[in-house]
Amino acid sequence: MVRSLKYLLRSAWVSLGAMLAFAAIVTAGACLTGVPQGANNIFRTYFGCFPLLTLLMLFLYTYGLCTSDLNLALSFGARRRDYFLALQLILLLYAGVSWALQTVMSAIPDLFGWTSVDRWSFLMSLGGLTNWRYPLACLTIMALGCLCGLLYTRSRAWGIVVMVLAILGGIAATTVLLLFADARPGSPGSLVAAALTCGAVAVTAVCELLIWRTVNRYIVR
Amino acid sequence: MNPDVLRAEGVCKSYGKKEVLHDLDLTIQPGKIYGLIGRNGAGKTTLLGILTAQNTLDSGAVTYGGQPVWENQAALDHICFSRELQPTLFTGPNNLKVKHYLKSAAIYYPNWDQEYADRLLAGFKLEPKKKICQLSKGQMSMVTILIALASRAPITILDEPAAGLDVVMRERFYQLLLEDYAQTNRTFIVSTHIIEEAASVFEQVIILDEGRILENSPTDELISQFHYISGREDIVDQVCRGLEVLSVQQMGRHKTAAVRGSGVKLEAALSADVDVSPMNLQNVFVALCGHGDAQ
Amino acid sequence: MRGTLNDQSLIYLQIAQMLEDDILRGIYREEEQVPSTNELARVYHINPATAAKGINLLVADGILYKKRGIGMFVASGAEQALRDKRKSAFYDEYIKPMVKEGASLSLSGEELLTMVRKAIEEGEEK
Repeated sequence: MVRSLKYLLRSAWVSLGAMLAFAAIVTAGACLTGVPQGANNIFRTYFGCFPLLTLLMLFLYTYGLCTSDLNLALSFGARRRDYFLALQLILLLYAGVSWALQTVMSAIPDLFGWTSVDRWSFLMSLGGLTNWRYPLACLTIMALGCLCGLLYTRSRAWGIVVMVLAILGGIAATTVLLLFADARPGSPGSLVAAALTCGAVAVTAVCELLIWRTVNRYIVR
Repeated sequence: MNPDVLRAEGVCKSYGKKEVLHDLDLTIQPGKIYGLIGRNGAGKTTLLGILTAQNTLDSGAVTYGGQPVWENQAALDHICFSRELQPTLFTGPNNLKVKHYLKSAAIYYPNWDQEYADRLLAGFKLEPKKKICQLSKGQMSMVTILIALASRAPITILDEPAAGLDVVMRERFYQLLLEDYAQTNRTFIVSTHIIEEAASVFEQVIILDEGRILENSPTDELISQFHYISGREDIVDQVCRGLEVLSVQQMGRHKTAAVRGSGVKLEAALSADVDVSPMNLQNVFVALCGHGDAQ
Repeated sequence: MRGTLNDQSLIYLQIAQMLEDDILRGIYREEEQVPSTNELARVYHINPATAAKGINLLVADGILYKKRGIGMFVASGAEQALRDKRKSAFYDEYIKPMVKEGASLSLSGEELLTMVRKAIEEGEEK
């Protein structure tokens, strides 16, 4: 399993580096264009909804994990269960880094006293800060990404359909989740959050099952 | 690191309704260079994929040293299946750089010899930064060969390593293969279309035809069973009566028959007024597998 | 460099034949070393096992012998042994085919013998 992990890490650290670099650029851009003073521009938007941008990036990164990366690994004699396990660890890594990144970025406005224009301006400060639901959302979107990659190779049409649904649905669901994450227990908000949480877990489980099935029967080209 | 016997028993594989391999038995003894020859679509790559657990089988078993190959790390560590590179991957061009491809191979093959790989890379004049889709067919073959040789795996399989190479590079390939074999005595299975050139390199030949193994025997033993008998048609017919006739060509009264048989059965032919000449491996292959095609 | 190998007979037989020819020509003298299987394999681009098969034929005939750790050597008396072997094969390999060919050309026995005598005379003149 170590070999598969090494193999996947080689492209993982590039992706993660890109994500961090993008975050740095957005933050620097925001600082330079007066966002901390209340300016309302594109950088504010990007900075504000960075957790969602991260989800989008994660979705794209995982696209090839069950297609070209899998094909190559197996062609070099990797064991299927080793690859699957290594894949899980990589997903956890991605989720962990995304969560950490989101935590750091959401601390910045408070730490440096940025002016808040409206309630929606800094999405991550809405209870999602230390919430475990965010990494869960990351995992769900990544599992969907792997599945989409697989589907796309079988049928372009279906691949695109699921991809659009996954992205739109994922973003919407995550936003709602983060909004109601710290709602009072028993309130309609918390019920919605609970339902979405269960949904995310279910979707992730189904995707993982399908991924495992695919990896196990995969024929190398 | 002792190589073991790689054995396939009763292997059947179908893609949908099409049966690609039928009840196939094959034993690969260690320490030989095997040639796997067969027509396009005979099932060579499928068979090799199944032998290396990279392809699933419908029924039967593939074992290495008595243990199943499937998901068996010990077996997979001993085997290298160097495939033909493809310029397109799934739905788009193969944008993987050569150096990343090689680096990944280095990660997975436990016996990978980096120094050997570097030497071959320089010798083949390959640019590591180029993407696979930018390589010529010959260069892709060179990468296949590089991976196979540098893997230093006890059982190394090469799928069409000579495709796309010009004749000078092909000679160089056979030379490299024999040098490596002389040094390491590892098991090689080379699947190829270019039969006659490679024939002298193979100690044993496996002929795959329409999903069945027709032959798995030492090259010269196989070849010595086949002859061309040519001369006047009536004499040829008479002489061929005790022999298995594979194909016949006729020009007026001159008839040439490709026959299988040896020893006593051939005696009649040798003393009659006909020419008896040997067939080379390519001739044998065409005689055995060229059935059904227009002459 | 497959220069001198053809597909008229099995490769290992050709290897054996070439070594025999070279011994008879004096290229490899008695108690001298002959090329190793790896050397033969490298030069003729053939499988070492095939080269070994050819060499083993000569070992079985007593033409070559193995010195452990060093290689294959020409046995003493090999040249004479080869000449004897070729002499006894001469009838089957040269005489019989010549007679058969002569018969297919409708040459009489006398015509054939005349030709043979003529060839011998020409050979002696040189």
